[in-house]
Amino acid sequence: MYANESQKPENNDDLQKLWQQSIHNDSIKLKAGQMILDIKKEVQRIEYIFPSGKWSVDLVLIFMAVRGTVRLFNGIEIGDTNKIIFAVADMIFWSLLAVRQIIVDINTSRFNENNERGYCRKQLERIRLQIMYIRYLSPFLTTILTLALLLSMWLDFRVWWALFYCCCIGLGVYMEILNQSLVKEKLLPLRNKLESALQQLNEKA
Amino acid sequence: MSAFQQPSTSTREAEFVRLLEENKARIMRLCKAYTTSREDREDLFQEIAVQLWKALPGYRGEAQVSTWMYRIALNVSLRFSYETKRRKPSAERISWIEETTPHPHDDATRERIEQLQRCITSLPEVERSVMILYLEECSYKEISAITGLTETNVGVKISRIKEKLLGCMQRGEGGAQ
Repeated sequence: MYANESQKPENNDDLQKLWQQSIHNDSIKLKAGQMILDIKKEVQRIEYIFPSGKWSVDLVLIFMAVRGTVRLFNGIEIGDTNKIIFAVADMIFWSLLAVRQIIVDINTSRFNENNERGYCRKQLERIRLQIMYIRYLSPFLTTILTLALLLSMWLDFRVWWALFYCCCIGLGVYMEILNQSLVKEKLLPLRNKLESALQQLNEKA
Repeated sequence: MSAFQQPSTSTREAEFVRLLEENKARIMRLCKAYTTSREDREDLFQEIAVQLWKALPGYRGEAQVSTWMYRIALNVSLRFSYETKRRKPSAERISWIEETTPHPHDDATRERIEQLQRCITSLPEVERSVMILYLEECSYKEISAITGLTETNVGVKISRIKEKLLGCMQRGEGGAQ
């Protein structure tokens, strides 16, 4: 009837037994200490790919503190117009960062992550927002910051401080380029895969 | 408050290690169903472990630990199966997983196990996830909670997939592992 023993039809219990026999707990060994270390590193890496926005706020805070200190110790008086320009630039920068965070929170909190489709939709929305942020908002923020830095350089001109400001601008441009490559290499392929996964899940549900 | 929400880091780590130790075979079986090579399997295992670690503080004990764990593991597996490129060289990532020799089975049993795995791997993603949960002896209610399908739909799907699976095993089909 059947060519060999292995071709016998299985009943439900047999299938479940067979499946569970395939891998046992004692056929896998985990090195717990190394595992925790690796996981913590991996979590940090993921947070870098999907930054929460907090690190950039920290950087701006540090920059503003350094800039304030420079002004204080240099004793340079700046005019009211320039003070207004700085205040407006800072306000735009902070507002955009805050708005971006609020949009991400609102747009992703409405998804129910308790099933595969909800999970896919939430991740897709996060990635779409992240791409939008990196492509449109981030260059705008960097431009504002660069202009504010150039203005600072002009107003507080000293060779060493000019070098410091140039380094800040260089770092900003480098981070911007890094962000743009992140979109191309990581986020767009991930978005395409999630879209395809969601489409298949919708079709088959 | 569940034990996972304890403020102490060492408690969280101990609970996490215990959870993973208790369920490592289940997770590895799931990984095997969604990957085709040992390297990918271990990468996926690590990815699941990372996501479980991240989700641990948010676990409020509303669902059973196994349901919560499967939900995360399946979501990660689904996402992983759509990723063509591995994100990191595996040499660095698999250092804490060691697969030892499995229990000795007779040739016929080993062949049936391999055939079952091949047939499972050949199923479409959604059917595969429902079937894996069934084979892991999850109730219809749990499968429904994990996949988002209704319990009736789960029942219908399981009987159809089972027929398909048994047919595949009898014909000796299934893609190469």
